[in-house]
Amino acid sequence: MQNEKTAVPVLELKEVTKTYGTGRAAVKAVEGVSLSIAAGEVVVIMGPSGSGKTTMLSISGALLSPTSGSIWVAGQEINRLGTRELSKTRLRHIGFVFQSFNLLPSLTAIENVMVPMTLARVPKREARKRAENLLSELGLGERLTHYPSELSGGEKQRVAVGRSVANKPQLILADEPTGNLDSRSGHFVAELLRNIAKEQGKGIVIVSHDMRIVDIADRVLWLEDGKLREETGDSFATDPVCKMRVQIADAAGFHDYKNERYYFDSLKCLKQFSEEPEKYLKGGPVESGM
Amino acid sequence: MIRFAWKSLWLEKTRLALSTGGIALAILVILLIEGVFAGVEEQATAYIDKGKADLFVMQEGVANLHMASSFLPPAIENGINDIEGVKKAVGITYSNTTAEIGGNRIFSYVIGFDPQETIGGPWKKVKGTQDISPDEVVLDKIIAAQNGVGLGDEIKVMGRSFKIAGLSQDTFSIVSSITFLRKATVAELNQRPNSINYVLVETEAGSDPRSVARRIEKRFKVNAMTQEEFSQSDRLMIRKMGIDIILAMSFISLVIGLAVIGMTLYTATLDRFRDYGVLKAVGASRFQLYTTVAVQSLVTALLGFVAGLLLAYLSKFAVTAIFPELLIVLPIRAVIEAFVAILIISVLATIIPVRLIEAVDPMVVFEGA
Ligand SMILES: Nc1ncnc2c1ncn2[C@@H]1O[C@H](COP(=O)(O)OP(=O)(O)OP(=O)(O)O)[C@@H](O)[C@H]1O
Ligand SMILES: [Mg+2]
Repeated sequence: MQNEKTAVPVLELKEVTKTYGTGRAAVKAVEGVSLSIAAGEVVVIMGPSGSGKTTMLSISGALLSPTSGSIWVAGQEINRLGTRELSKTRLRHIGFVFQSFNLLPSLTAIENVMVPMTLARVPKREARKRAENLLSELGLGERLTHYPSELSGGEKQRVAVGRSVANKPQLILADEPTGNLDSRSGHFVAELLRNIAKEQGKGIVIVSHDMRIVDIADRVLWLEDGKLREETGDSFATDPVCKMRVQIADAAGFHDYKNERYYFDSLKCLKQFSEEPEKYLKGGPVESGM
Repeated sequence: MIRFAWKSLWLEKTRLALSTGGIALAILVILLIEGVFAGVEEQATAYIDKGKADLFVMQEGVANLHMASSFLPPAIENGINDIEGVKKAVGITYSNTTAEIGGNRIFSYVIGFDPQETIGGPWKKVKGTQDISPDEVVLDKIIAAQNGVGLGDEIKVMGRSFKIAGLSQDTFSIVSSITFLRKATVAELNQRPNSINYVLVETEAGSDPRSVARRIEKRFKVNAMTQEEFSQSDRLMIRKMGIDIILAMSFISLVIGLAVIGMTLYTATLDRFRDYGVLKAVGASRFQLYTTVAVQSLVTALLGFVAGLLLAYLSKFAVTAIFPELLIVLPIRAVIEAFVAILIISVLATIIPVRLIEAVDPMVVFEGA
């Protein structure tokens, strides 16, 4: 565990605003967002569809320039850089994981992981070796020469994770990394990302709708209408019956029992709980939120 | 990255086959039409180009064989023979007329030659004999076949009947084929028994045909042209007479063909848009992207070019087998021109989409598949 938090945040957004279009057609996708991610930290950004999550992530990843505000990646202000430096920053300091994997279909698993290293002119032999090690660590040692079309969704996403860390970036940005996966592979990928953050001291930002991913987060941020607010413990709770994490504002209902308020994902769970509360509270009252 | 470019081309064989096929067909059409055009020109001036004459002497003010009439006094033949640098001067008689075979009238250059001479007559081996008597004729092989006549049959030239004694090769032309009679016979038919029409000159080895021509012009009031000059002048005349249409077709086919090639390459590049978007997101530099796109376009273009060239040669033989009268020439010049054109087009077809990729919305990589 090299979890030393350096003084310099791996990602810092200061008052970032992004407006698409102009005049009457203007859409303020992100408004006055400030954010700082430390090394080794996993931050999950949640929010409804259209709230500006992808926009914010693209700006953080030097793929999109903001209308105003500044972005710092690994201590360098990137919104002043030209295209050439921007691609260099993406290549060396940022790793991306996408919902739709975005592997290159013509390349094998190992070649896909080698792509960023090839782009960074890492000698081929070394790149191959590093890619091989990475994939073995990701449990894909037997899948090195498989093409993306021959891999399952979870395997593809693991290859994508391998590719994102190939050039040892300090920052990893993931947009809905579990969005196309079943819950088991989704959980596996989420755990992988967390381990990478903790063991390699990388800052990871995950954008997701998926409540289950909150489990791996050090911090959950809520984006709504382009504005960011930090989740406090009381905005989330775990349904004691179906064990689903629920957003308090969206809960189907609640039940007060022994000075504790419990929130439910569905009325069915609420009903079951109210009939036999003790049955569901064997492990003691469920802690709420993070 | 070259490896990625290469592999992603081959992975999608159908796409590669389609792009290559499209380019190959475009190249085929360009080369074939150009080839037919070159073939027509070559056929039309075959008599000038293929014979052994280095110089052609004609009446002053005349500069063509096609659609021209030139008269010279027979004595000039000996006079030219005496000029320095002349190895052999041979007069021929000539008429631009029609031959009647069965009921068909066929445009023809009728050449009256002297069977004893090595220039002026058929230049390629004749089936039957070329040593004809005054009432015999050497007819083009293809014309004979087209009209169902052969050795021993009779045809009419300028109203008089002749027996086919020989069948010549390479004397067919869509413009006007060549029919051979005896020199004196044509003079009689022309009703100018005391004149010849052109003098063909073979120059001494080592002497410059151009200066020999100047010497001839100095001695006699005639026009003397080298083989190339005369051939060139006839080609120009033929173009003015209507081959312009073929030239226009050939130009149109070139433009359409190149447009097809450009669009094929452009579409192939756009098809890989997402891959380029991913490469860009991962951090590929502009140069690396250009290289990738360029390798893919160039390889596709080259494969298409080679396939098109092979197809063109194959169909050249196929077409000639089916339509023997159609001569298709694939001059190296045309092949090189097509090659250069396709290189330029593939570079353009590469640069334009890369410009788009540069402006690619990064959201492309975030969209669900
Ligand atoms: N290229 C664009 N041009 C104009 N408007 C855009 C563009 N991209 C996004 N928007 C708008 O900006 C807002 C934020 O979009 P964004 O994609 O960031 O949302 P999101 O939170 O990622 O949504 P989702 O959860 O559905 O992925 C939306 O209103 C969207 O319509
Ligand atoms: Mg999104």
